Amino acid sequence: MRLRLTGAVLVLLGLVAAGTAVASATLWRPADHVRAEALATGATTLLVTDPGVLELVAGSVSVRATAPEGARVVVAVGRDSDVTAWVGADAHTRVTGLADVATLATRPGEAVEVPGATPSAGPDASADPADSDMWVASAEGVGSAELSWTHRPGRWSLLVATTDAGGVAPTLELTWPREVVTPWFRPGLWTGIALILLGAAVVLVGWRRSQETEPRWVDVDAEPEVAADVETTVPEPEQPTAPLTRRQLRELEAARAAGRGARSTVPTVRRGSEAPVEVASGPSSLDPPSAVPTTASTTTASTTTAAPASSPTATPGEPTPGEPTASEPEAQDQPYVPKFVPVRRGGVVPHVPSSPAARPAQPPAPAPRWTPTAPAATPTGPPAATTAWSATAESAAPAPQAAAEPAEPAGPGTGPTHDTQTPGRGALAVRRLLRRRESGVGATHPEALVEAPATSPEAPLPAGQHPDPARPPGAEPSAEQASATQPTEVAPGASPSSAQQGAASADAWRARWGFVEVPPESAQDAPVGGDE
Amino acid sequence: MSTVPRTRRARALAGLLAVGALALGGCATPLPTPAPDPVPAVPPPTLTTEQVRAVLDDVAAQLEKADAALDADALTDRVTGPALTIRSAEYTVNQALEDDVDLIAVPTSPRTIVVPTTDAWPRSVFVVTEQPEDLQSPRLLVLTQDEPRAPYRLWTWSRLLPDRQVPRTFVPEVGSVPVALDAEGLLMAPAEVGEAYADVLDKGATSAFASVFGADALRERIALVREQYEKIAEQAGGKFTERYEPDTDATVAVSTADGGAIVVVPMTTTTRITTDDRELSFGKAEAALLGKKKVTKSATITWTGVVAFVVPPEGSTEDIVVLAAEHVRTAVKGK
Repeated sequence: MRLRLTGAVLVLLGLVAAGTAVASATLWRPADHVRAEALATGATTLLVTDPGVLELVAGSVSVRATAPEGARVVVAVGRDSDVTAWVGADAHTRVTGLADVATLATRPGEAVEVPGATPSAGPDASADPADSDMWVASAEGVGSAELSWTHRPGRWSLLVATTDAGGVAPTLELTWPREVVTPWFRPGLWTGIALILLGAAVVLVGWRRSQETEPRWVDVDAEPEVAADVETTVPEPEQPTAPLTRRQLRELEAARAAGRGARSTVPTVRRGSEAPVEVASGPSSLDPPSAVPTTASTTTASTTTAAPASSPTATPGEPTPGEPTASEPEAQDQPYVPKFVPVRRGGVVPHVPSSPAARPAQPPAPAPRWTPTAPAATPTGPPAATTAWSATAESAAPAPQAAAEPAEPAGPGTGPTHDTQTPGRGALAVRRLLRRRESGVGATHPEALVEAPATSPEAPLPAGQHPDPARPPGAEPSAEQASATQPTEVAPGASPSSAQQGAASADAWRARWGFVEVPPESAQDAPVGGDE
Repeated sequence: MSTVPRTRRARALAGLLAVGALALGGCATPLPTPAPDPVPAVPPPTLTTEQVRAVLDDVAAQLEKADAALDADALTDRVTGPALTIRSAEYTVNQALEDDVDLIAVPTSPRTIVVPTTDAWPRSVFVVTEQPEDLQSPRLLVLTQDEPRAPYRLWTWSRLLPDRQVPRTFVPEVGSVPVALDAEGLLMAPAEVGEAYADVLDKGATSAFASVFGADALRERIALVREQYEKIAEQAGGKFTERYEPDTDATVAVSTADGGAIVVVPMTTTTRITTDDRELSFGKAEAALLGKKKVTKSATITWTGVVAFVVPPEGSTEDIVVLAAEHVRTAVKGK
């Protein structure tokens, strides 16, 4: 309704604008000349225009002076100083400009002393300006006199005088031709048209929306449609909200019941709902796990249901896969946002490591993989996570290191052996980081661990993942390469590393500062926004 | 529908309304106000070339008319000063002669116009005329306007002396700066030129200013005439005196392109002859001015003259030269 109303208003405005524009060029079209009059005041017989008045409106002006009772009138144009000097001390009226469109502004003129001139008293003095040699244009007549003047460089004044003894006041009429311009016509017209079109478009959109909204809701009930929607559009967040969740939930529940069956269920769900069955989906699921595990450890301490449950119950390799799946369903139920957030984060981080095969491809790779689940989110996710982390807490230092490291791991990523190797390097790297942080502060250790993955998706993740891969290898063969490796990598990597170094301290620290949950939320927010 | 789009829409609406208001408000064009050219640092030339030509035409018309009638009164509208005096004397002489009218030709077609740049009065316009067909020398005319309501009048004319070049001056569109009588930057101030020249006329080579002025035709002629009168005075057994009185106050000067000046000085020459009671007979011209043919005691002859000098700028090695001159016997008195 609002849209339609707005559109209608726009159309109305457009009509008004266009109409006004047309009227400005027709009905309200200004006259092609400006005519203004002035009457010499105070019974003066002389009338003088200030310099600039003659060319007030246009370069050429028609001067017409009249006097009542058939008096003789003289009009003359001369240099302003000459006119002023000629008038001298005589009473006169000065024209100073326009009072309004049809009236010249006047004021009583003051006497002027001219150097070297004996004020118009000498025998040579003539009261008739027509005799002067100084005028560059002049005319005289009985009752009226007319003169055409085209401006030339300099300061020019017009002198109007009646020379009869009676001393009648002359009337001056200046007429300027004016080039009629209609500056508002085109812009007004175009603006009006634009407004009308815009308004029409808005109305159309509003109408369509009103038509579409309901049917869509109806469609949602159908599962396939929903799935399609999810794929095409973005977001994981929607998934949770969407009815799919129910189905998923059901499936998930079934999977849970089956125990290990969770893995199979998870992938199926994803596949069904989202395109990204592939590696991408794997990492995503894996990623969350990695985050989850770390978080899970913390969360376990704090709260969270699924993560803790999964991690404890399952072996390192298993739990990780289980977690992602579990997390998703759980998230669907209620706490979706928070849970997802961690997933994304972790997911982002792990992605990089998982992609090690292609160094450059790593960052991009995760994005596409994620895309199915949260295409927009993944790309945005990593940067957001890094920035968030760096901003929130620890150092950028880990990130660079990690970045450097990932390059190495990338190679290994291709084969299991590599993985094992990489884990070693990764573990070393992690240890280095840990040491550094430890040296700094005891409390930071946990953070460092957590951070490492989050901040530098590339580097830290590998570090964390590498260990994971070692464990997962077993899992990898069983499941798809991507899905298996990724999950195994992520979950184990994070959990073991953290567990090794400062699991307890980290948990305690997280619990204390509530860091675990906070970062995920922030991460979530960013991606969600991006998705939308 | 979140709040964001709502506010956006509100803003968009407000913007559109503002644009509309501006569009409507723009229809009220403000009244134009005078925007004249700024007052120039140097006043513009007082007259245009066309105006000068118009004045010259009017002067010529009046001269022609007055010459035809030999009526000096008809000249007063356009002729004044030494010019009027000389012309009036000419009319008197010619009226008496009853012969062919012989008047000094005053051509008025301008070859060079020098217009002053000033806002003050009096104003002087200098005109060098084309050489007349009879190969007389060109004339230097000076037209003056005494005060704002006065017309320009022919004040003096003078004949260019042989082999004199009119110094270069600025075109009328630019105008030439009037030179004050006490102006510096010249070899000699305009006010002093007349006195110095008079001294040279009076004392000849013994004058302190003899070296300042080169030889000129005017001085030679004046000397020639003086010799004649001296002889007459000698024959009459009387005395001969001659005085040269420049009219310094009436001197006008205008700058030239090289920084010098053209200085025009009216000069009255008075020749007085006394006799030891012998008769002095005058020629027709002088008799016409005198009103009789003979005097027995004394005669005073007044010459109205105009001398135009070219004064070079200060530091110049050139002489002050007489550019043009007129020297006409305009009055004779005697007993």
